[in-house]
Amino acid sequence: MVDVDLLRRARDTVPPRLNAGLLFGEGGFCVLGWLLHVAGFHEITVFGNTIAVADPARGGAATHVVANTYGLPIEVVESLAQLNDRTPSAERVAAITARLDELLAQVSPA
Amino acid sequence: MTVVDGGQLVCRALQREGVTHVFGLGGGHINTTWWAIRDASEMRIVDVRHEAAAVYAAEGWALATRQPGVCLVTAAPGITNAITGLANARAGGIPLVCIAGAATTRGQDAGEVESLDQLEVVRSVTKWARRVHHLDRIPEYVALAFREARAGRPGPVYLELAIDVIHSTIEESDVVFPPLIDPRSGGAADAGTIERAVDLLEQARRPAIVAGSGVWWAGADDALRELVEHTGIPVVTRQAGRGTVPDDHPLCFGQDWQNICYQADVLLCVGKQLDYFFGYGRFPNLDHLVQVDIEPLEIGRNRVPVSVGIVGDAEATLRQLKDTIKPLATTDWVAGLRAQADEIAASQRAVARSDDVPIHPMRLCAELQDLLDRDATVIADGASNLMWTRVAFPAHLPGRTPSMTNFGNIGHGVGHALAAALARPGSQVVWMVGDGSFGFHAMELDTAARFGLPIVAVVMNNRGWSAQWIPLGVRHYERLAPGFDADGALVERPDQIRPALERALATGTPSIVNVLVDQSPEYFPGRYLGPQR
Repeated sequence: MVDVDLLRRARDTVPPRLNAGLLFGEGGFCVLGWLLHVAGFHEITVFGNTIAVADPARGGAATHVVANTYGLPIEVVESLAQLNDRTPSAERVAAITARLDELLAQVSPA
Repeated sequence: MTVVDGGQLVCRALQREGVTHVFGLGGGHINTTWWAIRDASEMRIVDVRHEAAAVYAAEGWALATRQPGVCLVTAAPGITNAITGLANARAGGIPLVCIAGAATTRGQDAGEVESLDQLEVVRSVTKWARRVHHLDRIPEYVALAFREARAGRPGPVYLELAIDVIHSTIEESDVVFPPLIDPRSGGAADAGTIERAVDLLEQARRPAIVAGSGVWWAGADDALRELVEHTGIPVVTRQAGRGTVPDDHPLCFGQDWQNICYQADVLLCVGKQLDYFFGYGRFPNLDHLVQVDIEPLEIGRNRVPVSVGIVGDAEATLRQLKDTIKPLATTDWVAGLRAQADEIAASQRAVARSDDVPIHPMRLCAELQDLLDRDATVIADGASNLMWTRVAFPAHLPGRTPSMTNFGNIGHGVGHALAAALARPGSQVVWMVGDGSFGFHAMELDTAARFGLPIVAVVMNNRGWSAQWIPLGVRHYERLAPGFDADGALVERPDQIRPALERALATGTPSIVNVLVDQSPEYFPGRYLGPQR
């Protein structure tokens, strides 16, 4: 079951800049890091990591943790992360926001 | 008839252990020990400017030489200053012996100067802590301290001697010096356990090896490399294990454990804690974890399911595995990983060509790497800068790339740099430090100057505690250099990087290269995002 409220909150608060390749660092969050942050994972669990969520209870690979936390299929999360990393930085936020819009439309039609 | 005091006995006991360098800061409660070491042939006392730096330097000595470092600090404030260093060594499993002065026993609770229940303070940050009550037992306790520091999972140990003890005298022939014993076990695992581990590895489709600090402390570099080459299993190295297999070995994937471990189906983890810096050992595509550690409590830490746990010495165990396992068909798996690594490297190189102002950190790192020798030591010290230094500087040899322990400490790098420069005279030693971290122990560049150690401090200056977005502003750290008879340079543009670094590496004195880098630089893509299940 997709956590629509959580996904909508993440979509509504996408930061003005998203990093590529790193969950969280000097350049801010990537989409995976942002989704984790919105879901309550604190900064230390993701700081400086490319994929690892360092949480002794809920940690693991970020794609899996996001999928489990949001109730999304793993393939959808992987695709979202790949979109994040493959999109040039100037276009990244718009591309990610659009993809999140699509996802929300699929799981919560107006 | 030779009469010796307590300080002389400490010195002689250290000499028997092969100690050549003692890092410390003087104080009235350690005078006789200090004087004895100062005057001893084949020993050198390196006096630093803060006790924490003495401990960091002792750590650095251990990380550079594989032998326990030694530090000497005075009573009470000397010890409380040393605590952070001891805690860092405890977290990192770094062997060192901290010898401390102490107030007299008779002065307890009497308001004697520098009186403190030091043992109570240090117990939680050391693996062993003792006070020597009797002069004739000093050599015995020093020997015990070294054995404890090395035994099992290494760590810092603490030995305190009250001022009245070190000033007491005794006829030397009345003192028994114990035999020297290397406590490292070298013990082998039972054959059945090894066979179970081999079965899992031989059935794996995507096996991988993670080599942690335990490989370095056990001296298992050759055994690890031979196992890797015999089996064809790819390897990543972590923490003090970095460089035990060179990063440019065809089967080594450097420090990029995140890419490898999230794809592996069977992992052989050797001497690496399942800790924060290893994602607590949670890998979704893993079918089996084979864990080797000298410390039984590390097996399956954090509730990680371990298929085969082997408590044993890393070198002995790796040799047993190599003698039992057959070569594996890993060509396709390794080729896939290499293609990914090449893609990541290409994206790193693209970022490293950035002409942006402020300077991209990767540009700075790449320019420096071009100027480094194969045996250079590069010490990463900071938080945000670890993101760049960890990927920019390959570990070609062990003991050259010390970094953060899971204590999360910063500011220790200059102590590590002092030790590396002393351990390997003439080799390049670079302290890659954030501007925040630089502030903790920058005064140790005075120590470097006094001892003629040409450490290059490269300040990756992003003008703040960037992990927390707390600004520090532009500060001209390079202007400290003339005060230490050192060399200083400010770098603001990419074209200034190379000349400044070339000069710093050639000058023969300590240097501070203050580089203004981007505060929020773009990272580079190229990480494992699946699917490969």
